[in-house]
Amino acid sequence: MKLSPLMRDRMTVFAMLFPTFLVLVGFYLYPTLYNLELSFTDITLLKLRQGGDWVGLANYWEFLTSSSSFHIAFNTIFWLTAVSVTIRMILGLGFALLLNSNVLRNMRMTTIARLILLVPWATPPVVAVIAWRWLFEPTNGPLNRWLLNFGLIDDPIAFTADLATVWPSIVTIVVWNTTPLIGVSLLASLQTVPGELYEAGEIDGANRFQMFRFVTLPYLMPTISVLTLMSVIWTFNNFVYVWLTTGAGPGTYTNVLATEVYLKAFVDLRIGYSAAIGVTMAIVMGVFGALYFRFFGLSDMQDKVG
Amino acid sequence: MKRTTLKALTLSTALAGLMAVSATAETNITFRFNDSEREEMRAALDEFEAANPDIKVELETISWKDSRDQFLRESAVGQGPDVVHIAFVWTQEMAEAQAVLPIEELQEYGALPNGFDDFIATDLTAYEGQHWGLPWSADTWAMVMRTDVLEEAGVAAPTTWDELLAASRTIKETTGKTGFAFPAAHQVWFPVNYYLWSNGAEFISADGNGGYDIGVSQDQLAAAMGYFKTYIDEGLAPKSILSIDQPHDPALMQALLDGDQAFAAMPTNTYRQLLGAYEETNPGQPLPFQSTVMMAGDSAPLTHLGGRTLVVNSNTDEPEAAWKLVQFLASAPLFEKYYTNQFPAQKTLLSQIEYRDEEMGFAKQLADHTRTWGAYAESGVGVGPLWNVTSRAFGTALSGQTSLDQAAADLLGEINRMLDQ
Amino acid sequence: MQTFHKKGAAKYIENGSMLALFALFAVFLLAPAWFVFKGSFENISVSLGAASGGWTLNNYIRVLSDGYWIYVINSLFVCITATLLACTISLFAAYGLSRFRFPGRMLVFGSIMGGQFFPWIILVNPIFILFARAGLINSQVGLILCYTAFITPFTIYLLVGYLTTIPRSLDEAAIVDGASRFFVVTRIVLPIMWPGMVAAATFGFLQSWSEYLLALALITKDDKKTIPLGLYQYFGDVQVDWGAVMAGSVVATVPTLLLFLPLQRMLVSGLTSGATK
Repeated sequence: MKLSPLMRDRMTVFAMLFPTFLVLVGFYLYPTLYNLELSFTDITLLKLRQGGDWVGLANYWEFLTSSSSFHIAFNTIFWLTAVSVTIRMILGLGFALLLNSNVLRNMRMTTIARLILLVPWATPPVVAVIAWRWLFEPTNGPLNRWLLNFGLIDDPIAFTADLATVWPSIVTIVVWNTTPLIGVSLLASLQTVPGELYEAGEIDGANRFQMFRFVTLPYLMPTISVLTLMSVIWTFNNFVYVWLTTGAGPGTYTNVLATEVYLKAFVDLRIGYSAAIGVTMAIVMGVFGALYFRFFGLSDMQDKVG
Repeated sequence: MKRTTLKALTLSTALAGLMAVSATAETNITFRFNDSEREEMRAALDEFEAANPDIKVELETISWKDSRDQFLRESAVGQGPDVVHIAFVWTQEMAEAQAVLPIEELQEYGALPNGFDDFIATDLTAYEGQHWGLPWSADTWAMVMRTDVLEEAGVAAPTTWDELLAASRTIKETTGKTGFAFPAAHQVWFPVNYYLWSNGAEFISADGNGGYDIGVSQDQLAAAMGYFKTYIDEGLAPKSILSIDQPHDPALMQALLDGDQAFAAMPTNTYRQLLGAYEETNPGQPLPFQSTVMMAGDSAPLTHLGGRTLVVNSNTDEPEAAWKLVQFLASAPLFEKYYTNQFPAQKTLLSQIEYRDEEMGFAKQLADHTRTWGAYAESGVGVGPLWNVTSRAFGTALSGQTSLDQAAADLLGEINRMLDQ
Repeated sequence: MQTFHKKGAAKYIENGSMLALFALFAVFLLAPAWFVFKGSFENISVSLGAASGGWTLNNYIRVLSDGYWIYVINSLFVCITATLLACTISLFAAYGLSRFRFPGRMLVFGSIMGGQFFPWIILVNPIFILFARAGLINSQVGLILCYTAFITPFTIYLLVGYLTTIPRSLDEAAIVDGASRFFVVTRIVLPIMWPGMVAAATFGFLQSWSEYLLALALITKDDKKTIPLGLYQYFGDVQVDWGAVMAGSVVATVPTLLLFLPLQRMLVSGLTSGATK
């Protein structure tokens, strides 16, 4: 039997996408639906064998009206995501501009800089947290010893125990670990800015700031917007940085959505309740993604798929 | 498997097929043991294997903080190690989750030398008329003092919480050293309960009619939070204790070793490690440590009777071999030769222990001043969940994240919610 | 900017301050890693009361004799296999998505995007239960499947982006000559898109290399554990063995560093054309 070209194409596509389809259904769709089902029950780890009872929207209601939910949402959105992503974008851009400047280029610093960036970039987050926990350590940590030696402080600072320093400490770790990716990507984009654009700017008599504002930045914007999106997603959902640095403490001061999901499921054993928080998280991210594409990236996405 | 050698790995891959054949004659069981004495325990298991050549025991370890939920998850899906090392207070949960086999059933494979009644704290393993674990090691907390620091500051050994605070202030003023420091994160649970108990309060108490109620007022709770917060606010203890989970945290231990800290509260095995470390660094020197019973409040001091249970997984294919192992682990030689930092949870064996002079505080505490978690467990709330919400609430209060009253009210709200369920 | 000529002094100040800024950046980026590296060769009161100070290889000896190298081998095996698997799946998926028009295409692409938005932490329990029923607990196959699924959405996304930079005419010409699609993908498209594949593979590898939570739930046997689990064993309940932790950290970072070093240029070009096109 001879298939029409269209049918043959359809078969080919099907074959090519079939493994992906399996992955999506087996590891995303099925567990998500299962999770959704759990979120409407009062199932706990103790009742895993028997199964839980249907409680409707009670878990969602409890989470959304609990006194801690605002605190957790604020921590996740402001500290973990907004602050860390903003700082890393600014630092990354700054570093890229610095490396692309004539001064450093003439000194052939770019290669060295790339090697320097590589170190935090290639460091697994788990190790990054270890490194900084050691730096921050109150009794033997290098940072405290250094500050004490220079007389900048009189008593060691408990960086990860003091409310004033704990969030900046976590943000520092995240920024350290993630800035290189931003820096390297922006540097690569900077190097592709066509020279004519600058020449045209010079003819118009633009100063250096104007050059950056009206030539460089617009050119980098697509890259910046995609990197921002990626960073927001990765950071918002990230569990490792907060959990391994502070365990959501002191108290619950640095609790974020991801650690709350973990705490409720694995410490308090309330799987159903934890599933409801997880579903809420997924919805928030979904809405964010939809809005983002609506306002910034729709054309970009259409370009891609085409 | 921790000490797997190069040889073992290459062998195991190369001979996997062969071993599968030869292994049919022997029974393989897994023992999950979560303390740090892994090498000693492996040696003990080697002895067990030599005595029971048809049984091979694999030793595995996961950290204590992951151990409870991991076993619950495994058992719910028919998995998990055969014999598991858990905390006293998890036993009833494990029974409720149908994760473990009852002792009554297991004893059919062989009786215990002094009977099950010889074990202490068996009430913690009872659930629906049967017992679900064998109490293995017993411990409690007591006060540890660095006597030379007390002398230096010219303070007498305190016996009440108020005296402890006063002594800490004097020590700070006269020597600049730390008086009392404690883990203020996860395990703040212990000192908090001791403080409440010695002041006639408890988180949950029986109301006498078969029901349960909250046994502490908001003011009492806020006062307890305030007491511990004073140490941090006045700089009597370093602020870093806010992120310290356990009494054996190196920062606390080091301060005691170096004589920078005068008082601490800790369990027995931690104290033994501390003494051992001091002897190692100062051979032949007299020990500047003394232990005493926990601080008193309005009433006598009380600490919890804690410890570890051995349970047999309800999914095991080899209950008989697992029980043999449990019996071996609960025998006297194990505690004498291998597991020497722990006290056996058996009356007969406990009565045979000879305490060192420095350990008398622990002996006295264990003999006269302990209680069980009682209503915490019987009410159905469970020690684990109560512990988690309590240490979080104290964390928020001690760090200054919320006011004492707010933190106390939130905690009582949480406990009420748990009581309602 | 070449033509901004300045007077000598001003220029020196400007150059100097830029260099200083660069140095500051460099210190920030390198110091933590340096301290870990240094610490891994130091005697840091390992057991209470042990002498501190001085150089030593003991941390490495202790870590490696403790079976840590088994975790390294396990991690390498699991992550490399998962990465290869994910890249293969993604190559075909990306090609199909970028070169064909078919109903449901936006849905598939949307789900792939959604996959990246997904908070993986909420799937630990469902996946654990699913895997337990399938007998995939304490199994490297289970972990490999998970990691493959974990990294596939991002690799597809990168590769779809990269494929848009490859002219369609190239593979259409081959099709006209009678080549099969499989031939086109493996012999014509793949050689051109190596940088994209390398970028995708590196990201996938790095993501799975440091994954902690799923490994924690799915693996309890010592001989199957991966590096992140092994590393956090030294953050034990008993005490933090800083010396061992740092030696373990260095061992955990060296493979990724070695991987990044030669691939960096390819990585950047693959990433920028993949993620931003």
